[in-house]
Amino acid sequence: MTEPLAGGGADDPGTDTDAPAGAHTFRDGSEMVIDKAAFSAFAIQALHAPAVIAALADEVAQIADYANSIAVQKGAIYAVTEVQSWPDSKRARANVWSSNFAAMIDDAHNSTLFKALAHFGGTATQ
Amino acid sequence: MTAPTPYGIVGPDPESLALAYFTPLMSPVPVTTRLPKPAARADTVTPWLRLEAGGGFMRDDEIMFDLSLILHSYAPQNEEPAAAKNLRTALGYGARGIYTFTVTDPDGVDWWVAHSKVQGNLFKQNDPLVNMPRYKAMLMWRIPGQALAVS
Repeated sequence: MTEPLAGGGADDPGTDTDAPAGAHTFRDGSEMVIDKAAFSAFAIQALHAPAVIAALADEVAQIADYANSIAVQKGAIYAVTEVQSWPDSKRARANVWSSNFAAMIDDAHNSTLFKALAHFGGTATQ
Repeated sequence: MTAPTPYGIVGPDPESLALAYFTPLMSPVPVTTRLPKPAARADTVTPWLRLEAGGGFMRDDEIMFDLSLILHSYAPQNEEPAAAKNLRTALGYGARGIYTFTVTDPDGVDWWVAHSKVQGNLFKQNDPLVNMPRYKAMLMWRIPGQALAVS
């Protein structure tokens, strides 16, 4: 996959008689064309920026700390993965996970990871 | 000019509110907030849905609450698809996006759900306390708090 996120391509010209391919027409008749490939490239660059990676690492550390603070099962340890910042991925990613058997039991009993997610207002897989 | 009456903002009890909302919608599937204890001689257990407050927070506007609700769906081993189906149905009723709805709690107070979404989609994770398949998922309801007079 060489260009995984290079934009969505142009609209079907048969569906739009006047506007350029991919253009959005406003109520006053003016038109705007978004360079999706350029926008995507900019977004990917921003979402892999060192500051974003640092913020992401901090966020998952906070979620893991919270999960560990509310865990009921003795010995449960919730941990974070290293931030993965692959160039062919849309954005950098990291996970909080139940890193030992006690944490797996704890999460099955108490839904600790869901509660940690709710505490920070996140959505699973974000 | 009199001083304004001090007050606090209180949010709803998510479990009782969700119980009031889901019980009629999911009927005849029982909706509970705790694990039922069937009689020792009971030879059948029906699928059921359990609700659990997942937490959440007051938003920065200091009016709206984002309340998370964990839904657990159980079914006997030979009715496992029913557990997933019941949970999917409940998620459909509970996650309505920008379509708002009002739920009346057991005290007769109306709570307006301004936004709702699936915060974690269903997945299968057996409950160590229950010898039945369990699927669980999490919903978020955004609800404005209500003024609570402080004397």
